[in-house]
Amino acid sequence: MPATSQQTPWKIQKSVVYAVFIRELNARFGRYSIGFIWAFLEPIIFILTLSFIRSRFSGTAMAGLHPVLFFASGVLTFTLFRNIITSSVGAVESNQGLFNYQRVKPVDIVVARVLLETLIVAVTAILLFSGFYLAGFTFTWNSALEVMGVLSCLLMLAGGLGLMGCIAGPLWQDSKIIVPMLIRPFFFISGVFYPGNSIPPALRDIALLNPLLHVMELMREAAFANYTSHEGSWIYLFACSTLFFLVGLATYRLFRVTVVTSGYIR
Amino acid sequence: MIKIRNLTKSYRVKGGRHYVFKNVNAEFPEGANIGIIGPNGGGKSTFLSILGGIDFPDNGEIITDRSFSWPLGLKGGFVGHLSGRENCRMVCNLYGLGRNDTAQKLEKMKSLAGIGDYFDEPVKYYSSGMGSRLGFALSMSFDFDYFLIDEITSVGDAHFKALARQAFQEKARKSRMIMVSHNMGDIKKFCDIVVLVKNGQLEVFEDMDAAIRAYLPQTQESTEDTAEIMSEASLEEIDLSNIQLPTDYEAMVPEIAERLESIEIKLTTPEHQITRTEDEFFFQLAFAYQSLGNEPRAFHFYKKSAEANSCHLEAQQRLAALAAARGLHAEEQQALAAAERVDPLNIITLDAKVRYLIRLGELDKALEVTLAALRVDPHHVGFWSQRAGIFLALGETSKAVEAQIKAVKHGPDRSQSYLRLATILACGGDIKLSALARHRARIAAENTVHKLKMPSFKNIIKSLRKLDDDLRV
Repeated sequence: MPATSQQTPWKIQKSVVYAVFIRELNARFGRYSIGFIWAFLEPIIFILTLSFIRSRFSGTAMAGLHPVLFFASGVLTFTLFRNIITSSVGAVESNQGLFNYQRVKPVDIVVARVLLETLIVAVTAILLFSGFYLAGFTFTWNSALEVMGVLSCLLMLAGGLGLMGCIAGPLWQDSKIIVPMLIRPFFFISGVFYPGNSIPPALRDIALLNPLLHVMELMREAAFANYTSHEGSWIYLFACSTLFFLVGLATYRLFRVTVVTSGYIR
Repeated sequence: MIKIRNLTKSYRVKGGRHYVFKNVNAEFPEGANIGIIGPNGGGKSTFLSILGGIDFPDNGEIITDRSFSWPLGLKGGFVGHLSGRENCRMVCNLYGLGRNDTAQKLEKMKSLAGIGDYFDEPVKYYSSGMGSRLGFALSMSFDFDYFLIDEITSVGDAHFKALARQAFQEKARKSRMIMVSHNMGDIKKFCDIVVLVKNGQLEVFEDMDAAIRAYLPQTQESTEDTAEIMSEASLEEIDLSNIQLPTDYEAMVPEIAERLESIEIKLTTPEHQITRTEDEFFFQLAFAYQSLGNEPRAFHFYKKSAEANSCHLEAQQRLAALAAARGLHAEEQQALAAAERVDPLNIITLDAKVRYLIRLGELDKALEVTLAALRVDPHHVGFWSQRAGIFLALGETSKAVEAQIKAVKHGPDRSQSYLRLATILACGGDIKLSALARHRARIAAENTVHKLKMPSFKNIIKSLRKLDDDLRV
């Protein structure tokens, strides 16, 4: 047994994130859980419902994309954003038992949850788009590198907000209700089910203050060669993501001891 | 070296702060096993958590170059729906062990915990004893300079205690322990120095007896407390009508009966040799019978268990209790004596002994035993109650009131304690206070009714199935 105190911080962090990741995986998809099916089914059902409704009104392409592809990319991206933040808010309280081990810190749980949520959405995306391909909804792939770039920005943005959430969760009981309430409007203003260029010009400048709209635009632009709306700005998105990430890190740094100290909570 | 500098720790409470520690300075000598004692809520566990690095003080610091285990307590920090093995694997992962090391460690943990195949069952099916065995085995598999132990030695049978002691002796060359306990017997057995946590301060004693004397409650209790306790009485009405019993109760009785019969037949066939290890079989069988309310059969098999292994503490204790219920004095005395030989300071044994002595009418001796027991566990409600009963029988009403108030203070949720207090007060002629105490008793009774739990028949069936399978081999 290696002397536990002589491991490097990097090695400790790696071990802890790995252990928490496996534990979360077990908890979510364990023997007695139907969460396994639900995690994949929820976005799929949602996408199909949206596509069905849309097909009732008109069957035309949306900014050069078939509606199914359009909704799939939007809903999956939004799901990732939402799940990272909401699951971070509960990170500390649903894992109180883990803090019995001194090397586990809240950030480890947030990192593990970000990884897990990303994995789930990635698997759903692969399943879904393979299904689409087999069903004949073909598209031309644009740039994998750009997709990774947008994904990194999204992870920084959601991760930064998640770090703030993991602090807010235990210190402020109502945050578990408030945070999902705050996220909900973003579903409507972030271009999940409409392209950026369909926003009336009078509102467009205001709508484009929302970095998540940039994520949607750039994600579709990066993934699909024939997407015709080009409202997203790399510079604005990158600046916003970095800012939120840094603010998240700073918030965590300030309160990281407080959230696991008894006597402050409740 | 462990040095505590200006340690301050407080909790937010209604209308202010409650200080657990206020500017505490202390230093613990090198290489000593440290026992921590003190009243409930005095900050013992908080102190342990701060040492273990999982809780943090408002101010001040602990200066040390030693490594500490996580605090090993009754709750164990396990995830309920994962099995013991999965939980242990997670901790191995946390500490960055490779695949081979982990596999090796898991086998070691399994054998040290001694919970057999339960190791692969979800932790939520464990009894509290099994949970703490597993927690103990888990932390013993790692190397730390200090093991932090919170009340864990108070659970577990004699066999486990022996195992624990052995595990510690193997570790003793490299490791020490810091142990929180109410049990003065354990503190004396395991520790070299004692730290008394009381009134926001830490006091280090090298002399064990001095520490225990400083800690044990003074027997003179001010009668002001009576008024203080009574004034808390509220005047709400109680409703005991909506008690619900678990529904699995009756449906499972047939299967249990069937299992019992099958096991009994196997155990009593002439070619079946009874060996020492079968004490546990008989014990489980007896326990199942007792849960079903069949006391004669339970008595029979507890006796067999005790005969197979006279050191089976719980079998002896239950045997004594059943013997008492059936008026078999000789059997009771024998079982009690055997239980005492296994562990002279065991609370349950002492309790049974007091009852036995009272029944024989030897009140003075019974008083002595309660005193000895309270030295081991000053918070034990039962012994304070018994003292009160004995004093009442001896005609010393005021002493009886004092003792009963102690009982009420240490177990404010027990309606029995209030009821006794009411009776004693009535005997002393204080009708008004007596009525208040009776009222408190009703409130406490209603509160406990909601927490009422019946023995889980699912667990009984499970253990019987296992017995049945084991015997087939």
